Amino acid sequence: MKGKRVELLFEQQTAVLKIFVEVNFENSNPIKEKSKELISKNNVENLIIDLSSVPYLDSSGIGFVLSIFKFMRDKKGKLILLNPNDKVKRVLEVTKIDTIIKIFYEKEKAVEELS
Amino acid sequence: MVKPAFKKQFLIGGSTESISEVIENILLLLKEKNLQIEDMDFRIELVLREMIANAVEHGCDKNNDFSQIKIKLEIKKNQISISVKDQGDGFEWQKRDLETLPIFAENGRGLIIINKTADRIEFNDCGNKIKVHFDFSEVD
Repeated sequence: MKGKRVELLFEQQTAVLKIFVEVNFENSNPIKEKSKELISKNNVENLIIDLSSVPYLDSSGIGFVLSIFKFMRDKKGKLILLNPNDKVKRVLEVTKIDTIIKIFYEKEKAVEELS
Repeated sequence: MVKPAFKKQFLIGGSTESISEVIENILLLLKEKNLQIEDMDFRIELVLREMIANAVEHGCDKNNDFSQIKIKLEIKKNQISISVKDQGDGFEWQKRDLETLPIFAENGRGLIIINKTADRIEFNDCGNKIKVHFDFSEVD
């Protein structure tokens, strides 16, 4: 049975999109669609993507992050990435995503940034 | 005396399950060889994942589980070479910009990541085979 891949939680009224799987060429589109659906349905203004349970992001996974970034930007909202593991952090650096999206390692500080 | 080249070939199907396994096997094999390559595990995993993802995405019949992707690993004097070949029609790699990383585009990063991470990259004429090279200093 397939477990859940993405869910939207609220941390002191800040929306946190938690991803539970590697995001790659095979699953990035359904994860992107599901994420946008959750964001729209809950009228999310600013968003944290919690990457702590994501073992890896390939270039399609990076495409997913950028798609959500642009989706939030179009809504005049902000996006923050939280807790990528070392490997994911390196992929974010290689692709220069870290130059356009802030990365935090403490949830409280990420929430504070968006409050 | 010149050491003979080490060669190994892997065949994987169009499904994604075998990707992690083959990458793990290759990294283990390279670790055993004790090669002095800067940041080897990260760079080789990054490149292999993108190369194999391209092969599965563009060069495989998803309904056919038969082994379709050929991965060749070769280690010789000061160089690791890894090639990935699929059964697709390939693509016009000559027309692709492999240097400019798109910051905001959602697609088109895979080949640029490969090009920027490996020491050298080459394709066969029709573009269904990609080969990357990593240099290292030989240790006696």
